[in-house]
Formats: sequence, structure tokens, C-alpha cells
Amino acid sequence: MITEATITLLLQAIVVGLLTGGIYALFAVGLSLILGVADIMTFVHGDFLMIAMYLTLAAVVATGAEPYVGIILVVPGMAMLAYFSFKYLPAVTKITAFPHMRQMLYMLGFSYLLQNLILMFVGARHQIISTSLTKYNFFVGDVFVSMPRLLAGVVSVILTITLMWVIKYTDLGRIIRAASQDREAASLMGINVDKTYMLTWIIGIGSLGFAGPLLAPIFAFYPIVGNYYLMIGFMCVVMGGLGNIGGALIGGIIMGVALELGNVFLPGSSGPILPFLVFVGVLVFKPEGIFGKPIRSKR
Amino acid sequence: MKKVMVVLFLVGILLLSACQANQPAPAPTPAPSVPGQAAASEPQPAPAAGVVKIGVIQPLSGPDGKYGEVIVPAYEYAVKQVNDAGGIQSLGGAKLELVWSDHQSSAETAISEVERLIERERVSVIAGANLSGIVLAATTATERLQVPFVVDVPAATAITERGFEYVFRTNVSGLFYGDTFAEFVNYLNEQGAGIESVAVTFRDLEFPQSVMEPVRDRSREEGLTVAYYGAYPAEAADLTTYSAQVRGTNPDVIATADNSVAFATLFTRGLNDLKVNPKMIIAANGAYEFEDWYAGVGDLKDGYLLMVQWNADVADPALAADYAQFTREPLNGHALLSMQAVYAIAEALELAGSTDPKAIRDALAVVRIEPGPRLVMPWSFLDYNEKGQNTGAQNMVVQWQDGKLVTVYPPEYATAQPIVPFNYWQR
Repeated sequence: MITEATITLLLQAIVVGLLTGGIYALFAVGLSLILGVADIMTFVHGDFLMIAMYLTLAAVVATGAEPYVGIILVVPGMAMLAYFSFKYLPAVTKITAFPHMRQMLYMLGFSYLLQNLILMFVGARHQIISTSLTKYNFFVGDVFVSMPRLLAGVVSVILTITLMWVIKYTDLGRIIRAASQDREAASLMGINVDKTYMLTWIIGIGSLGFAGPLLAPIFAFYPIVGNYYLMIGFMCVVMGGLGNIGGALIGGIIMGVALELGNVFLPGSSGPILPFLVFVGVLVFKPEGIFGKPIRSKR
Repeated sequence: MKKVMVVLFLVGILLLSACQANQPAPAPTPAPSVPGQAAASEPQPAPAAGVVKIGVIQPLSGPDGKYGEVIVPAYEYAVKQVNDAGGIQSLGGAKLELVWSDHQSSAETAISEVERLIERERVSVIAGANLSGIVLAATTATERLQVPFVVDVPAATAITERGFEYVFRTNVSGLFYGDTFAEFVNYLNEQGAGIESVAVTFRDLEFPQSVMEPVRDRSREEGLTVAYYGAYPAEAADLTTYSAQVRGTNPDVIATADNSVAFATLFTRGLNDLKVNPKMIIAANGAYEFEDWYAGVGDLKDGYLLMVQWNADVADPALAADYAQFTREPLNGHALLSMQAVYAIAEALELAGSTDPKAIRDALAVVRIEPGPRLVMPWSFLDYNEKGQNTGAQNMVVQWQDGKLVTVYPPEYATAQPIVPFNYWQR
């Protein structure tokens, strides 16, 4: 039975899904860069997002300002965290030279470390952040649009497109792409490959400095929330094609809408079944991802 | 062809999940008793003459450590009251002694701590443990070792539904919330509130479901229309869309439950964002009882009704003052439930005249506390039935009115009239 209420609900879910999908996209683009370009099997991307959210919380508690102002502090904070983790943690410094299985184990350990540090110093309690932006919420017909979500979605998509442009049209982007396509050839051309990987790592994690403050006023967060975002992120990345930034953007938006539709039309906690089905469906029909190039050979 | 089969298979899974996801989980089966093991670890009577050892297992550290902090002084206060009044008369004035134990919110730790309390410390009876999940685990050990476990705060229905003989729950069970809700709605309708439909929604976890399912069932029995019944995911989810779903059904009442303050806050805000305006919003305690919730939602809490076991405005002033002086903590519901558990044990010991766990179990099964200094909860009696559930336990309904939490039901405890319908979004 399709009633007017069902259609409103459907539209509502699509609007929310599109906007949340924008944030998933921002998260997935960073992940895609690290996985596909720097070729680091990261399992800490979700945990870095969690850290970005807790940094936002710290900024809000310390200054009493809006969470979005936190971006000024959280972006450099995340970039520095990325720099130091790449430079001084043995797990990351040498990681690009390790085989994937060993990278994975290192990264899982690093992930537990970050989660438990937060658990130890902040506690397991669910956190949320308030924003006064909610007073600008509005309705389009019967469909509700929340201002924090609109801001998050739009800003994320703009950032993602900016990143795409940087990778595609700037020298920095060309260096990153060269290093990812052929490590040896790039270093013969005078590119410092290790430095390029570090830069990719920093860009990927630095972008979470935007995602954290944008997400924190919308969703509840807690020390192990990163696992949830990591799962979604992986699906977006693989769906869009590994290392393909435009693909990650589209993947993020598809995931956002599918998850929201699943949450509305499937009962209880079974909502994520729908995005998983979409994901499996994509893998069945196009294993290389929607925008991925056909798989030719193994690296 | 292969791909078509895969797609059909996936769609099949989707349909199956849609049909099954909302069915209740099967009740846990009772742990099989192991006679040989029980006999080998038969607990001895308390070693020191004139002392009865009570094991108390609580979250003293770990993520829920702060709940333990509130409860420790309550146990100590109640024990002091019993000892100061001459101890257990039938045991020649024996004093109660608490043996503390920390379960750190871990079921495994709880089980090994219960074993330690019984086998090493030789306690006669155990009380605790604040969290439903922990009690469900810990009581499998007490059942096996045949030592009574007196449950203080936890309300999950399953605790007393497993056919265990050594479990005694002092507080209400989840089923009581259905009765409270139905009785309260009938009471309002007698005054002309005209409540006909209800939307029931909760976070997809043990406690919220075990209190909201009875609300749905009792509503149907009372002839109310259940316009919406659904759980929101326990993981990061957009509660705005859920609020939109509830709004679409246009219910007279929204009944809800949650155990995470953050999710409860998001849901409260979601209802407000969407200007959902039922005649009343009623929540089970749990997250909605915590200071973090009412601080976090600010003015949005006005008009919210809560099903709780105790509220400050029904406190016995003498007890509240004495308690605050002894413990330096304000009296609260969890503390009173803990004290009630100690008093139930003391009365059972009086009846049993023995420190043998089995004798205490038999005494707990028949003990009955009438109103008086040993009945500190606002109940008319305390009496454990054959399942170990206290049938005298009762919920109250309280409402946020002008920034104050006042008791509105049952009428004999009410300090204010319920404001229903409440105009939620014209504040």
C-alpha cells in the first residue's frame, strides 16, 4: 500500500541519505587515497574519524563555541597526528614496504591502541554535541531538512570535488598518481616516493578533520564507533573502484541513500542489510567497482 | 543465469529478514545443573560466629563504575541500620558483613567473582549487580552453586523467567511497564483524555525491548490502536527519519525506551525537529532517568512522562535527611532499591535462623515485608513469588512540569496532576 505518508517517508529518507552520503563520501575519499594510491592497508581510518570527533568535543568543551569552529583546530590537529604517526610509529613508518598481511596486523593493533586510549582517558559513554544551527531547520513540503546535515553534506561534497581536482590537475596530484602507478619508475623520475606516501596519508587523515566536526552534531559517537564507519568506508571505496576518487564520492552517496532506505523500511537493526545487498550486487555485476578499470594484472 | 540466481537469493534474504527481525529473541534456557560439581563445592557456614557474610557484586570500576559509586553507600547504610538495631535476632544478634566484589561490567568477571565469593569467602547470600546483562550471567553461577542471589536494580524480564530457584528480584520486571502504562492510560481516559492510539519505539537492545514489548501487548489488550511498533538501530543511526516515521502514524501517545543517554537525546531532538505533537510522550526510565539526558535536552524535557520506581518528591524526609548525613549523597532510586535488597535479606535471615544458603533461599521464598521501616520503596508490600519476582514492586509515573520532576501517578503518591494532553512544541 503506497500512501501519501509512505511517499513523504521515502522522500525524507532520500534527502537524509543524500546528505549523509556526502559525509560518507568525504570519509571514503580519504580512505580511497590511502588504500588505492598509497597502497597502505589501513584499518585505522575509522578510528582517526573517532579521534577527530573527540577532538571536536574537546574544542567545544574548552571554548564553548560551535562545533564547526572546531574545524580550525581539528584539521591541523589531525594532520599533525597523521604526520607523527607516519614519521615516528614504526608500525606506519616502514609500513609501505611490508606485505599486505603484515600491514593489516599492524593496523589492527594500531586501531585497538587508539580505541583503548580514548576508552581509558574519556570513557565508554556515548557522546553528542549540540549546535544552535538546528534553529535554521526547515521543511520543504512535508520533508524535513536539518541544517547541520545540509551543511555537512554540502561542505563534504565541495571538499571531495576539490580533492578530485587537486589529484587530477595539480603537480601534487600528478606526483601522487605517478607514485601510485609505478613506484620504481616514479622514483627514477626524481619523485620522493616515501614522502609522497606520507603526503597522501596526511591528506587522507587531514580530511577527517573536516568530517569529524561536521558529523559530531548529527550522530552519537563512542570509542569503537570507527569500526562502523570503516565498514561503510570500505564498501564505498570498493564499490566506486579502488583509488578512484569520483567513484568513492558516488559510492558514498549510494551507501548513504541505501542505508537510510534500509533503516526506514527494514525493522530494527537490520537496516544495513540493504546497503550490503547493493554492495554485493555491484560486486556480482561489476567486480572492479562502478568506476574501476577492469582488473588486468596483479601488482 | 547465475547472476539472476544470485539476485533472487539476495532478495530472498531481504524478505526473510524483514519478516523475522522483529520477532522476540528466544528466552535463554536454564543452565543445566551439574550435581557432582554442586556437591563438591558445597559452601560452608560462615566461619566467624555471630557474623553473616553477604557478597555484593557491583560495577565498581570499568565503564559503569559511576553507578557502583552511588550504590556502595546505600548498602553500607542499610547494613548499619540492621546491625544498630541488634543484628539478626534469630541468630543471637549476628551482625551483617558485606564482602565487596567488582564485576567491571564483564559477564566473565561476574561469574568468576561469584565463584570466588562462594567458594573462598563462604558468603551465605549474594546481592547485586546493577546491570541486567551481568545478572543474567552471574545467576547461572549462583544457581549451579545453590546460593541465593538477590537482584537489586535490574529489570530485564528474562532474569526471573528462566525457572531458576535461587534468583530473587526486588525491583519490577519488564512486564510491569506494560501494566503501568495501561493503567495510567485508563486513568487518563477516565478523566477524558481521549487516548486511542499509541506508537511504541525503542533502541534495539535487551532492556528497551523488554520494557516496550509489554507496553505494546497491554495496549492491544486494552483496545488501543498500536499505530507504530518498531526499534531503531543500536548503531549510529539517523533518528530524524525514525521520528518522521512516528510522525506519519499520528499517534496520541509515543512510548519509548533507551539505555543510552546519547541516543535518547537524539530521539528527543528528532521528535522536536519534526514538530511531532502527540497528546503525551512517555518513556521508561533507563537513559531518560539520567541527569545527562535532562541536562542535554534542556527545555525539550518539559511535559515528558517517565515510568520510574521512585521520585524525590515521595521521599520520607526523615530517611532522606539521615541517609544524606551518613552517606553525603542525596537519596535516589537505585540506592533505595539496594537498601531494599539488604532489608529483604535481613528479614529472610530472621526467618531462616541459619546462615546456610539453602535455608536462606527457602526463607526468601516465603518472606513478606509489610509497610514499615524495612519497606523503603513506595510499595504496599514485598513478596517474592515462585519465580523469585517481587510481586509488590510497582512503577510510578512522573512528569517534567516547569523544570521540576513531579509524581503524577498512582494517585496515592501523586504530588501533582498529570498535564495531558501536553502541547509539546509550543514552548
